[in-house]
Amino acid sequence: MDRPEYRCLLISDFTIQTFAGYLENDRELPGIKSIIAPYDQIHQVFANKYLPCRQKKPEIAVVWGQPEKASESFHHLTHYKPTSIEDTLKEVDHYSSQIVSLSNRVKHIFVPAWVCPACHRGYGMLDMRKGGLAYTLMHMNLRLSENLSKISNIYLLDTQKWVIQAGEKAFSSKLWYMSKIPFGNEVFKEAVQDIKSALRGTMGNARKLIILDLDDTLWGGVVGEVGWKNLKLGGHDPVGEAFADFQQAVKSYLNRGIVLGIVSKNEERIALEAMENHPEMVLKREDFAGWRINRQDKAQNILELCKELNLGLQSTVFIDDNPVERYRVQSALPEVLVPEWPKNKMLYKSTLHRLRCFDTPSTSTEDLNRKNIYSAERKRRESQKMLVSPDDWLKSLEMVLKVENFNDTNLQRTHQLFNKTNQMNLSTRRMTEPELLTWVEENNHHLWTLRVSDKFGDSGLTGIISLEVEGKKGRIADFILSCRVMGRQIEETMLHILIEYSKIKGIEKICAKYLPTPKNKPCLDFFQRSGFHYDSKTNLFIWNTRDNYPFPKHILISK
Amino acid sequence: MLQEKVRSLLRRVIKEVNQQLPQEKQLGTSSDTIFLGESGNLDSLGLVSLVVAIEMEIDEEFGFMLTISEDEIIFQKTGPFYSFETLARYICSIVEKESSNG
Repeated sequence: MDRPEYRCLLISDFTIQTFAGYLENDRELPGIKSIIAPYDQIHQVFANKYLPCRQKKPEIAVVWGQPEKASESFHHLTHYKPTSIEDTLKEVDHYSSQIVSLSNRVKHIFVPAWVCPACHRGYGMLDMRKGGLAYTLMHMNLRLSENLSKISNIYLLDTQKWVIQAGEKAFSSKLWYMSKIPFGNEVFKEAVQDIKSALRGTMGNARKLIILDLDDTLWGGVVGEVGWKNLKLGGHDPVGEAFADFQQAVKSYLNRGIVLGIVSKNEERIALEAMENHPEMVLKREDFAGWRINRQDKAQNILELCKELNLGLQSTVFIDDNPVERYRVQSALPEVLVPEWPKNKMLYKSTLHRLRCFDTPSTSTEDLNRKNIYSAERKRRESQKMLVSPDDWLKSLEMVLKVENFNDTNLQRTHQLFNKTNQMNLSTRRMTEPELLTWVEENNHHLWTLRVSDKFGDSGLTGIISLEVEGKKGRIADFILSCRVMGRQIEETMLHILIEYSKIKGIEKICAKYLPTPKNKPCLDFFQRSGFHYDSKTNLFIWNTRDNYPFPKHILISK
Repeated sequence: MLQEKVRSLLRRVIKEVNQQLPQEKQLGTSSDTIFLGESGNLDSLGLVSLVVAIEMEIDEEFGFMLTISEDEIIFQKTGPFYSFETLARYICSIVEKESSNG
């Protein structure tokens, strides 16, 4: 089967072929085809867009340089010649500006931060003072970060983490003298993992949901057997402390916008009672967006929970101490990430923090507020159970939809929604901020964003519609809705808004071309029941605007 | 016994080095594989990677650090890195030599 592949330009002042090999041979998605720029010609590569390596139309770039080559002042400093930090930072500014100049020619640029080999002690105890090697390098990296952070598609990566992970194999004098490779292979392997993970994040494939087992995962012991008072959790006990710490770590992911769920073979009443009553329980019932606590098959439970939360299996991580359960879920639901889990409880926290699957290219207010959004969603579901008819339920929600034009204030979230929405996404266009801005600038292109709120809370900016107009015909370029608000007639309202706008503008026909991906079947399902005329051969949906598009009665539109 | 240990070491090293090489330059692990010359796949960078990886693996397996990278013979096209077989024999001989010295 074909796998998505990026052409990646590798620009470096050292021999980067080994890294290129690891990058190409890594089996994780996405695939990468390396284009290696001429050795040690970073400045020339930036300056000359006619070089063969740049003519190969790379989609991403990795710019990996050494500090002593990027800055002459820093090079002097490594020889203990005094230099001024101002001069060094000017050189960093110049270097940064060259990287920035490439940012509108590729989708993403990754820049590993500068490191100095551990064997260079610099000025020893004075090295962290002004004029020291370590002090200067910190300032250089900070300046590089400040300069590059202004551009949304450039990411400065933490090389130091790779070096620490690689330990004493991080640097190799032998590789340096024999082939001008400053790093050991372990550093390159770590770098590949981080870059792949970042790319998956930019493709909207970051994981959004952690589903946890309970017994011996969130606490020590089987609650149904020992009772909540005898669980190992917190207290003056290393294992109990490790469990409490792991819960703290899990809870911290809520603040990052990750949703939590429980799938456990337990009695629901007993498990929830433990969560409510144990004095050292960090995670509380309200921290979880949903759960399946019963004796059923865990794979089936995960499937149902994901459906309830409107999150795809490919967004899910399942953590369980039991290898048999892990194997079952991994075999039944291969899209779910089931990390190998250590037997040693004291490694739970670090194992969680090492997972690379949550990396996203940006964080929005909606992400930070996700805990409240899902808590409101749980209340909505509970209210749904109490009301018999779906119509009564929708009416009781008191939904308000706010339509906004695309602007500077919603740019970041719009860009994020473009790149992470999978299910209700008509064309799954992944775009960088500059690409999005360029598209919207065209006179015949229109883009609206939608915010949804109801009596339970504000779901934030969760929808996008965009239209491309050619004469009397309009083409829906994007129809995107966050899974959080799917199935509440927002979809129909979006089409109503679009048709009404089209009528005013004299557009006679609106068409929507569905581009299938492995994940956007819900979008096809919606359009098939939308009332649009459907040509299954071309996957084209058409609406003639002389007909009104019915407006769902339980939604209020606010402008 | 030593010969088998060395062959298995060499296969591990080749597997690791192959991760660093483009698909078309990856090395075979069968005993009749030729590395250098017209029918070989190994370029100078690949050779360096192989040398360094062998040194590290010998350290892991036998507990002593060799510096075969300093031996100029290794860069000769008909030298020990010519084929899987010549390389296995070369490693055996230096490990035996080092063991008897130690």
